[in-house]
Amino acid sequence: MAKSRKKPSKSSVDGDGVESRGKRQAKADGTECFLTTNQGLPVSDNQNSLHTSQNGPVLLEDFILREKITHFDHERIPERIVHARGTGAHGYFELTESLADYTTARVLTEVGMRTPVFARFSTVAGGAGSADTPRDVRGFAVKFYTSEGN
Amino acid sequence: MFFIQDAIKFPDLVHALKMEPDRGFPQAASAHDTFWDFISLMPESMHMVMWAMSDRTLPRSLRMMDGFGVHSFRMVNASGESTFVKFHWRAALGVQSMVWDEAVRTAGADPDFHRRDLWDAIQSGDFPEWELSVQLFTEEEAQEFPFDHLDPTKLIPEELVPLLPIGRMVLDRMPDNFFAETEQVAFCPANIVPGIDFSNDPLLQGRLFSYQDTQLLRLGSPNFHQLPINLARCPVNNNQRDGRMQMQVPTGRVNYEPNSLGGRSPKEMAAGFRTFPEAQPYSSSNSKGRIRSESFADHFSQATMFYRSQSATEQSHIVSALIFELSKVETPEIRCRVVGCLHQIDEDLAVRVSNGLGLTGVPQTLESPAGIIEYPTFCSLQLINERQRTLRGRCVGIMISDGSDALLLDTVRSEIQHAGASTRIVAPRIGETKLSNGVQIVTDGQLAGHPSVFFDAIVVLLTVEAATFLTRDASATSFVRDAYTHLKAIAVDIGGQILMDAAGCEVDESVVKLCEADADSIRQFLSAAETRLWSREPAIRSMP
Repeated sequence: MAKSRKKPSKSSVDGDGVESRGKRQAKADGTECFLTTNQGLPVSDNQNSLHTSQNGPVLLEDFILREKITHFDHERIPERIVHARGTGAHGYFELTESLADYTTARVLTEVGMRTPVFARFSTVAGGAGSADTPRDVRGFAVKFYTSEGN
Repeated sequence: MFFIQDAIKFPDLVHALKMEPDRGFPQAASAHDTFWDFISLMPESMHMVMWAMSDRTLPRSLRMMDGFGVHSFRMVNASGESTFVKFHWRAALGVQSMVWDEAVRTAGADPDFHRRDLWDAIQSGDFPEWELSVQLFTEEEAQEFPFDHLDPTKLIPEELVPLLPIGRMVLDRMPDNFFAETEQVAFCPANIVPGIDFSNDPLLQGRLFSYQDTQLLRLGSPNFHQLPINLARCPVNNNQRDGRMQMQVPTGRVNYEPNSLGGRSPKEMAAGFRTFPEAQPYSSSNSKGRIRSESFADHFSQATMFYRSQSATEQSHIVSALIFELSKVETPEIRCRVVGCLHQIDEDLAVRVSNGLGLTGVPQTLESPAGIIEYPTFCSLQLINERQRTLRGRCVGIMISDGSDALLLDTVRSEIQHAGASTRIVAPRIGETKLSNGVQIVTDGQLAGHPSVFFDAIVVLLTVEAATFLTRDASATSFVRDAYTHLKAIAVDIGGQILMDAAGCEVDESVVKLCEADADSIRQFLSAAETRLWSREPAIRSMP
């Protein structure tokens, strides 16, 4: 789907006259923003495709329709062969006991340090659209974003 | 018929329908804010919404639902004359639906219910069948319709253009390999043959592009037409070459046309496909643009036609479905806006849904942009009264336990099978069960794994002793209670009656007592089993 962007203004344009990436995102806070194509072209009509005439066929020329439909058609990526059904959340890991006697890993030696994590819980057998509650082994995966690498 | 009039809205519709992008749920459900937010702002969807909220979206079996070509297509004869056509598949077994509670329970008891049903039917030689019918009409006739047939949110009432049956489809073989065939098959409305052509339906126009585009991603190569399931059964000759997963080994130096070097290189065929030379579309505007035809402006009349054509029971189901869906919508403004749209369809519908949602005050009403067309009500849009009364293709579950009456079981079973239905014997344990005459019978399923949602009607044959024991088993009482709640016919002997009493089920006209194997009782049960007892519904749930 075409991204929305904030109405161009001086404050959202950097020194080279190119909008910064963050300003191109749709605003969830209700700030007014305008629909564009992926190239940044403002779109004036998102309701009707381009017709030869009233009740006429749609034209190949309609690059806005083609871009929107093509992007939509290509949304899905292959799902995981196992653990396809899962749900995750961000959080942190806080060390309470140092293992400095055994390891140099900072994540396990700096007591009180909070390391950002992302955890994902999953089933094994079902596809991405399957139920949450089958009798199945569960996946419990945690990624640590440490200062020494993920 | 569909939700939207122009393919450019399809990504928006599907984004709104599918799980919400921040939370990743709900899966496979329209009962959430984003769907109804979009719908309430797209009144052209209202006719389809009426269908979606009706029992038609809860098919009992894939063998028991109709199919439609959605759009007007075109047929072109040998003289080059064009006729518009709407295609209809009509199930030979008739359209049968589940009730909502049954569909919800079935999803848990057997998530593969429809898939398994199709497999079982075909493997057992009970081949599903559909009649292909067409509605044929000329461009001149189309101009007399009170709606635009190019608008994919409209249907053509069969009272206006009758259905002409032209053939039948029988499905008689399951794929050998699910992935190779079912998963890799690629359908596309642009895949036609000479003599068929398209209409200017703006949804169809977009679909002609979209299917091939998405298949290029899904199957990963422009050569997906070479997969066995997609491979043309007639010669394919062209100069399209190379690409990932190329299975062909073309010979020679010529891969272009025209050429003088390739002796057998493919040439144009005069009798090949020709696009119908349509005259200028009938319209007042002939300029190019992002145009919605004025003839697409009426969004509510056919929704009204559909709703008012339903039986009282079906109207109640639509009301219940809307209340259920909207009760899952967390944003009060969206609930109000949908009820505002319902006001445009039918005042009684809007009031009943409004009451069910506990809405006070008059919800916001959207102005219909076009004059309302007064359609008559059409019985052909009903399911309940139009449903065929038949047991063909259906399944009756028979609950037994040790000591169950052998003669009664044998008689009931053969009579059910004689009526065209299959039977499955369910018992507290899998394996063998010893009947009253000492014969050991092999059961088809264990009670807890075979709830009555798997069956169209049930028979309960138990000794008093077994029945008394089973009153303490929730899977046994649920078996009876669910069948009762889902409005199914129930036949019981003395033991079965004990279980019925324990489950709190009252006797009514579709609860048949089989004290002996008397023909009248069995016939009464078979007749009741052909349909559901809709008049029982007010006794088991509140009807909004």
